[in-house]
Amino acid sequence: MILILTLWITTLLLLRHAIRLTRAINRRDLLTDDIVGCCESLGFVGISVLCSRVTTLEQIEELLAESYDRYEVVVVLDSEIDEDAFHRIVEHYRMIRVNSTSTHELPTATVRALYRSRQRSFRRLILADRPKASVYDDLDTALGVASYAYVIPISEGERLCVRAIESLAITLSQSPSSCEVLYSSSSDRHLFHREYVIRNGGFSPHILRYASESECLRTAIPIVHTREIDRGRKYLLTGTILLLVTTLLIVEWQRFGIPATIASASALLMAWMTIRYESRIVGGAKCPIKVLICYFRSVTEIFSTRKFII
Amino acid sequence: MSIAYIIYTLFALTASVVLWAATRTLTTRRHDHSDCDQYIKQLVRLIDRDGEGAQRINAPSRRSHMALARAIYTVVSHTYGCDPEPIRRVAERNDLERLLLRQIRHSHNARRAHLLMLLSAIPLSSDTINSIVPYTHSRDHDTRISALSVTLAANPSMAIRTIAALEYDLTPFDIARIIALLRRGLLPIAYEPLLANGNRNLRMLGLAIVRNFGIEIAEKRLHNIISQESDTAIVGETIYTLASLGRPLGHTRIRERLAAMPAAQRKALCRHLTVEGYSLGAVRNLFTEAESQYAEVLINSYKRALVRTATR
Repeated sequence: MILILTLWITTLLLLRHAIRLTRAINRRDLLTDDIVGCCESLGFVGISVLCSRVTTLEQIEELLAESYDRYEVVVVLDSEIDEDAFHRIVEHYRMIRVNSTSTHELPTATVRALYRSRQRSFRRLILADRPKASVYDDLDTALGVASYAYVIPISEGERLCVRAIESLAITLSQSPSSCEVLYSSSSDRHLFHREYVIRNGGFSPHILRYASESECLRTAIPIVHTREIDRGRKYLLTGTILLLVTTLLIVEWQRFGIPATIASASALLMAWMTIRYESRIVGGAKCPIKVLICYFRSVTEIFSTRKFII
Repeated sequence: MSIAYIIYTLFALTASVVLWAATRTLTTRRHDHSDCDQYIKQLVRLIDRDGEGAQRINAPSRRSHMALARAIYTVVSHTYGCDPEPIRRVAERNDLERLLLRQIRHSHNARRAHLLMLLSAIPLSSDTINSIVPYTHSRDHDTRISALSVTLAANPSMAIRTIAALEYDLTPFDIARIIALLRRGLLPIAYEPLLANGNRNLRMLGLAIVRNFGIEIAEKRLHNIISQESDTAIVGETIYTLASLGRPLGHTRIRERLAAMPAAQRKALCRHLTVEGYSLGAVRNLFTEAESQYAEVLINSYKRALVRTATR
């Protein structure tokens, strides 16, 4: 019985999540799509995207395609290990080596060399060369060279959602107090104020512990999505879900009869329709399984201490 | 218990159907965009021919009415000083004003704000403007600002009075929306009375105008604000405005104001100045030795490295 109730409540929460997401996306579309030419330097809010282990030109190209003017992309790579990718980026964007001295804000933010593009159209791109270390150390390095006050960590294979930066700039410029951390529940991603990260010794899995509720803003606007999900993983997850669902329905049919089974089957249908709808509305994240994973990740956060994982 | 099962089953099935329909609607939205594109082409042609052929622009269905309203909004917001007469004729012919008003009444929050934005592009009758006024006091922020845009667009001569009468502070994004009206040529770019006014919203708008239109001759007025203003937020905004104009910041009064700022704000300004391209000498004039060293590293990171280290 508890299992049935859990299933019902979970599907209802999933539906509520979809409603919130729809509202947030409607508002995003209203604010960014309809209002022509408004989204320039909103309250001088600037956002830097910090990329760790991003090696493909395609991904960098997509990240650079944002139209918000106070925005930049910082890519951190090891020129000795990712030699090909590094030289490909340097050549493609005609990057030149610039002076780089540490600002001593973070001890792990070491840079071997720093590159900026000499092409005006790619001025937003900064390439930092550092010896390979953990993702968090890469992000610290990127933070050290970032120009703007807010940073979003991005990892390999992740893309920004449509008008994500403009929406974030609007949300930040509209918040009455200074925001230290902004959490997007629909893409399970955080945006940080750089001073908050520096104050807490750089990026780490525990960085979210230090943010009080008043300093943390929440939004349903999606920020990032991963384009591809590993096919093997997708089949494995789909198979597991189908197996669990079938087992649940059989057990329910045997113990509680047909009406309860029909009710649960309807709940599951509603859940499937919800995640299918969410995957469409987010745009780019076409895979409902990914939406489900993201949703369950945000649900598990209720029961455990939040960790910053990238 | 069986009643609970039936209720839940019905609810879940209804929700599933609604979600399926919503997913389908997401796909059909693309058709609306193609309709909208067609109307945009027709409207541009209409404006080019000084309003000849307005009778040819027809919206036969409810969906095409919305596409036409969106097309009008797109054309008007991308055009400086667009002649309102052809737009008025098209809107009148298709009864857009009445249709949008009816939809505004029956919608809420983001959708209502969106419809109000569409309405702001159409020349309105005085009755319609009066019926929009209550929305300027709405609890929903977006609705309130969209309604404000409609009233400002309809009554440009009353803009200063309308903004001065607001009981809430405008956010940077709200000001950006008002600036969008200025860019359309609907409101006058008279920054002087705004900067001289004691009202916070008007001053912020004045500063935004100076920044957006690069009005360098406003420098003296900006210095006056820095000297006399008691609101630290306005002082900060004025310093940023001067910086975005690329003007010198070495005046004694600016240095004094900066010295009184919290350390975090000073650091943020220091970063901003380096991004804006200020020289190290200019930064040293404003900040302490430690802050200048920090700025030096940032400024140098924009300069080509002439000496290569042994690592590469």
